Amino acid sequence: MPSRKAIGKVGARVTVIVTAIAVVLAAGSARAACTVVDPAHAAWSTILARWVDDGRVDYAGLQRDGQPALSAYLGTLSGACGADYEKWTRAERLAFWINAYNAFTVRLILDHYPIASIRKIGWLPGAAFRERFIPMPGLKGEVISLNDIEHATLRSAFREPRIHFALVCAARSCPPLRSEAYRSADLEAQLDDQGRRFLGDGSRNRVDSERKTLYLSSIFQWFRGDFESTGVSLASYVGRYLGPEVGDFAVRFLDYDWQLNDHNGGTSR
Amino acid sequence: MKTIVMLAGLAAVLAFGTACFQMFSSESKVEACAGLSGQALIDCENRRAE
Repeated sequence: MPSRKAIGKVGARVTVIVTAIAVVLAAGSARAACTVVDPAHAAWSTILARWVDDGRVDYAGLQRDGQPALSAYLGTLSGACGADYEKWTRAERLAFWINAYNAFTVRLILDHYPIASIRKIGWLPGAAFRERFIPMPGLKGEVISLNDIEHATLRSAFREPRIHFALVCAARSCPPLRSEAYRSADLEAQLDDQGRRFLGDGSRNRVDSERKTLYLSSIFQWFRGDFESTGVSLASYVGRYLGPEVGDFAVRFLDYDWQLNDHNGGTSR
Repeated sequence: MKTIVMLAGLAAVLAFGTACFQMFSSESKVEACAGLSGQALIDCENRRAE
């Protein structure tokens, strides 16, 4: 016959185990709670409209006055879960990941601001893009990096070369950051508009009609395969935005300016 | 003969590599699951298979 003391000990252990199970289940259900992602990404649009002008970001102002709004928006992205995601349209998924890339890049810069370039973050070249700081428990099951969004998600799963006109890596030679979020309803028009703006900006891409030569951003060199996977040459692809006459032009690539796309002219740090 | 065996061996290695890449690639064949990975991808593909 077990003593009262022994029964009490067992009872205490059972209580501890039941409590532990309850905590684990509660944590599980908390993880399962999904945030509703606004398909118009209006919160991100509000931030961009206030702190982005002509593709340049007012990081100082955003750091001073916009952090709560940015954190709240990033929280809704991180809270997205797979059950909702699979009901989204392709355009909604693309807009989500493009906005996530751009918004988390801004977050990363603010975490290190003032800084002269995204390439100053970390010890090794490109460390900023490999840094795992983007919580995506519901969609990826882990904390991911900017590279995970660009290469392992957007490039591999969507095969849409125009993403390279929209992903902004916080450098001056990157495509300009729009003063509005990408929205599924307008995504096609927004991506084409980005292509026109990016290719039409003489500081990023140039056409020498006399020498029949295109001087293109390094982006076209790094991701040439993505553009040519559409079945046309690189020159023909950019001809959609620059005019079909450039389709047989020679192609050269320009150096990349990695200085921060800071509205305030950047900092020397 | 030696060349043929070497070429066949190379082809086998290439085929094996491709099969492994396909097998372990996290890219989903299901359109609705494009962009997901890890458990979310498994759950999505299972839901779609039902």
